[in-house]
Amino acid sequence: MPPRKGEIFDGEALRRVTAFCLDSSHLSHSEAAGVQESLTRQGQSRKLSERLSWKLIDNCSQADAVARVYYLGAAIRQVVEAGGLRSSSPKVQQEVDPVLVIYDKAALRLYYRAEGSPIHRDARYPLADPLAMLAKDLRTMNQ
Amino acid sequence: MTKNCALGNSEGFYNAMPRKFSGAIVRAALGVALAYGALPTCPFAVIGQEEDEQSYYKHAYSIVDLPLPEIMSALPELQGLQPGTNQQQLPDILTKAGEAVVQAYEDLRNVAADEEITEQQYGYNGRLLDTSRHHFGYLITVDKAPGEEVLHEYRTNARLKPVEPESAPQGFPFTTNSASMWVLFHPQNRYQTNFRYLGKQSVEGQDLYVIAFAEVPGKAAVTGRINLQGRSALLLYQGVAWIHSKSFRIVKMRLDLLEPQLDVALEQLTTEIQFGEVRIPQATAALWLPQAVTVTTVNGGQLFRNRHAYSNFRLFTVKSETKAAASEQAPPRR
Repeated sequence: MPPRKGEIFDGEALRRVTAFCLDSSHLSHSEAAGVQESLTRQGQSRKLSERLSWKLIDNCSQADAVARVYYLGAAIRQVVEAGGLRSSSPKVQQEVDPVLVIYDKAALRLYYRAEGSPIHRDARYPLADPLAMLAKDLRTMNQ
Repeated sequence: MTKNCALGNSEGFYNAMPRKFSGAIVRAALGVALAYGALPTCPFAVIGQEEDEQSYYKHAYSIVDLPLPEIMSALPELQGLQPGTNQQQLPDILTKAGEAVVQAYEDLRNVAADEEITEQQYGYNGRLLDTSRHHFGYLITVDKAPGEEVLHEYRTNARLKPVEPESAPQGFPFTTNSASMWVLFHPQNRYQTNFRYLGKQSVEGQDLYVIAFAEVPGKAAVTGRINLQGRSALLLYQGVAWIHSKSFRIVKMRLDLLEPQLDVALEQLTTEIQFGEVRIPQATAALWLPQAVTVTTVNGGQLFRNRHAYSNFRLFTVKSETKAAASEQAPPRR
């Protein structure tokens, strides 16, 4: 499988972003909570915060960009347990690809998109991959 | 008697534009025989399931709310806009644009045209991966039965028989119903949409009023529907209309989703429609129809751009339809 990477749709707009917010209105309560926690925790991560200088704010009307997250391909994928030979029936997990999309406030333009590696739908930090991609892509773009 | 008037396309067709239009529920409730997208010109109620689906958009922050500098930054086509200083002109512009829409609707006749679609698929970092071209016929029919008016748009084969066109194997489905998007400005539909006067702009020698709009979740009856990945999603729109300062006809429209429809991985859907006057010798009045439509889609990270160009407009009569149908059934010549 080729390495996953983010895609920049509007580099100029991305460069202007200093503060962003999360719109989780389309997610379920538990999904929204997971995404919010992921953003908050990983935003506090020194490794990531050194690279992603955007400030996460609550009020989207004050933000330069709006982040949305959704889960692509919510298909059931079969995941065989480690040492699966011990089990005759494979463990079935619901895996999804977390997708981070960044827009202007009114969603007239898509700025950025990153699709992470498959995760369990209830993963605690669903945005680990997409946020790392975003930070890396911003750094590359600004070099 | 209240006249039932609507716009739509035929059952089973993929809706143009950014959409496969919805309205099936609304129309069924009203006894109007439309399936996918229809664009009601009369104030249809939003009911049942569709109303629930509109709640997806209830948090949308739209172009109507956005500060003007941010709108201009997001939409490069507004370069040269002379910003309006207030909204005092808006009611008058909407009234006159509404009258122009009513007139355009009354003038409309059954029309056939040629449609050429150029489909482009882009890869990572905007690299063009593939281009394909497709030719179709294009048909607008207006049913003006007593008490009911319905406008249908079809994509057809060379014999003007409706077809359900397939896009390229990896492409985004073709859309339709561009002719009728101006019904958003119909006087009886206006309550479904928030409008904002942005200012004036001179484009190719024409002085135009620029109006931003955003459909109101819970009220919108001019909606789209798209079926992707085995799921169906309702589409509501926001956008900009450029209105001629003298004729008050809508010269150009840009439509975007009111909010990305992430239930079906529809990350962006932008439709730009260029309208123009079409003179057909047999028609008593000039018709106001789409000349070119560009649909830009980002679906699951894949960017597609479909350009639709229309030409060779002519009146379409029942006689020609019968003839076309007959010739299609005729055995092939040896």
